[in-house]
Amino acid sequence: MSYYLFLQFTRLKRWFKDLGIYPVLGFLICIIGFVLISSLLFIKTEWAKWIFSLFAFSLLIKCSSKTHNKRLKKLFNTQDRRTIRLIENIALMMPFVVFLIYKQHWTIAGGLILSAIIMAFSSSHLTWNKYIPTPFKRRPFELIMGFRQVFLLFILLYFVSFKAIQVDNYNLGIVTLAALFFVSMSFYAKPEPSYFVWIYSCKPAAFIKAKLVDALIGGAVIAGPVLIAMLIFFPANYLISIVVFFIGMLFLLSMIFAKYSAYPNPINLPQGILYAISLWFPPMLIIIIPLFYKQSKRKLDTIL
Amino acid sequence: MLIIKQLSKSYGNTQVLKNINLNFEKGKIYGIVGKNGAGKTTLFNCLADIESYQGSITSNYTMLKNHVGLLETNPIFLSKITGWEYLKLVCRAKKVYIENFEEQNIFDLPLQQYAENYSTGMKKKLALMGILLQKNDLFILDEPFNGVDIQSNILILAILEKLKSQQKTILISSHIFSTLSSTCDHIFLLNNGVIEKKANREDFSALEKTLKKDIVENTLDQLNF
Repeated sequence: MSYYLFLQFTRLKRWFKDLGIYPVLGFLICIIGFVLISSLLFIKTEWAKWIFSLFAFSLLIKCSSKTHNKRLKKLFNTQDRRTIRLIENIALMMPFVVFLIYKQHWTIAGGLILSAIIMAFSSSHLTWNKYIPTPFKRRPFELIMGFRQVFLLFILLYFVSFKAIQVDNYNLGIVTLAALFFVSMSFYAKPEPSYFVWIYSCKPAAFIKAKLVDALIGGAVIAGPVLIAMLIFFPANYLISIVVFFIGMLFLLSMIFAKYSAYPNPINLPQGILYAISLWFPPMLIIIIPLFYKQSKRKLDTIL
Repeated sequence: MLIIKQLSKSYGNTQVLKNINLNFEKGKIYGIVGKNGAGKTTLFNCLADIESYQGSITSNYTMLKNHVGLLETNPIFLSKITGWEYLKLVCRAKKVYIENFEEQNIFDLPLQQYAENYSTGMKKKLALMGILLQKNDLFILDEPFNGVDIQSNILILAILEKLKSQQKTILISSHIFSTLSSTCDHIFLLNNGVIEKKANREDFSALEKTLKKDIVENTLDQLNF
C-alpha cells in the first residue's frame, strides 16, 4: 500500500519533469498559484465559498471514478483500498480545507472533510456514464469531451450569471463570463493522441483553421447567451462586456495555438510562462499568437 | 500500385526494419506474418507515414497518407465520445460528410453509448467501421480479427472480399494463419525486420508447415512443463 502511494508521488514528480519543471519548483508554483487564484476569487465575489467548495467537490467526484476504484479493487483488499482512498481524498481536499479555515468558513471546511471520508468508504462509484447531449454533436471532439466533463460546472456558472442579473451585480456577471472562457480553454489544454491528428487529410494551416472555427462556434455557443443577457440587463456597461467577450475568444483561440506549438507533447514551461504573461497582459497576444502559430505549423507538418 | 524500396527503420541503435522491398497492387490482399516484435506494426506505421524511415515508399497518390485507412491493434478512443461522434470525427477528418451512421451500422454497435466503455471487440469493429466510411484506397489492418466475435469475423472476411472487388489494396497482419490463408493473395513472412519469405497462394501450406516446424519443434522443448 505504501509503495502504491510512493508510486503516485513519483508519477506526479515525473509529470512535472515532463513539463520541464523541477518537481520542488512545480509544487511551489502550484501552491502559490492556488493561493493567488483562491484569494482573487474571494476578493471578486461573495459567492466564492460556494464556487470554491463546488470545485473541490468536483475533484473529489473525479477521484472516486469507477476506473480508479476498479483498479484499486484489483490490486488491494478492502481494508487497504479504503485506507488508500481515504489518504487520497484527504490529501486532495487539504489545500481547500486549509484555505476555507483561513477564511473562517468552518462549516464548509468540515463538510468537505466529511465528504472526503464518506466517499472513501462508499462502495458505489460516483461516475456519470449516462449520455449527455451537447450542442456540439456535429463538431467532435474537444467541445463535446470538455462539455461532458464539466457540465455541472457550466450549470453552476449559468446559475451564478442568473443570480448576478437578479441581484444587479455586474462584476459578478462579468467574472462568470470570463470563467466560461477559462473553463472552455481547459478543453484544449491536453494534447490528443496523434492518431486523431494523423487522420486529417489536410495541411497544417487548414487543420488549425478548422480547429479555430470549431472553437469560435463553441465559444459563441457557451458564452454567447451570458453576453447577450449582460448586454440586455447592463446596457450601460456594454463596451466592457463586448471587450471581455472578445478577449475571452482570443484566449480560447490562442490556447489552440499553444497546444499545437508543443504537440505531441503537453504545453511546456516556456510556452506556459508566455501564456501566463499574456493572461496578465493581454496585448502580449499580438506577439504570442503569431509565434505559436508558426511553431504549431512546424510541429503539425511532421504528422500531417 | 505501392512500391517500397530499401525501407529501413531504426530506433537508436536498434534496427527494426532492414532493407524491405515490396510491391502492392490494387485489388489484392496481402498478409504479413511474423513473431511479436518482428516489425509488422513499424512497417505499417511507416506506410501510413506515422514513422519516419530510410528508403522510399512511392504510390500513384500525391499524398499517400490521405488515402490510408489504418486499423490499429488496440484502437484508441477519446473519453466521453459516443460511437456516433467517433465516426463523425474520423469522417470529417477525411472530408467525408455523412450522418446516417445508424443505417450503416452493420456490426449493431450501440452508437449512442460512450466508445471508451465498449468491449475490446466492439472497439475494433467501431474503428474498422470508421476507416471503411472514410472511403480509403489502401487499408492497413493490424490484427483485425483479434477479440472480435465469430459472426463479426465472418462479416470482416466478406468486407475484405468486397474491398478487393472495389480494387482497393489491403494489408493485414494476423497471428491466426488460417484467416490469412483464406483471404490473402500473397503472404510475407517478416522476421527480425527482414522479409524472409514471399508466398503466393500455392505456397501457403508450405509456409504454414515451415512456421509450425519452427515454432513447435524448435521452441516448445525449451520450456519444461
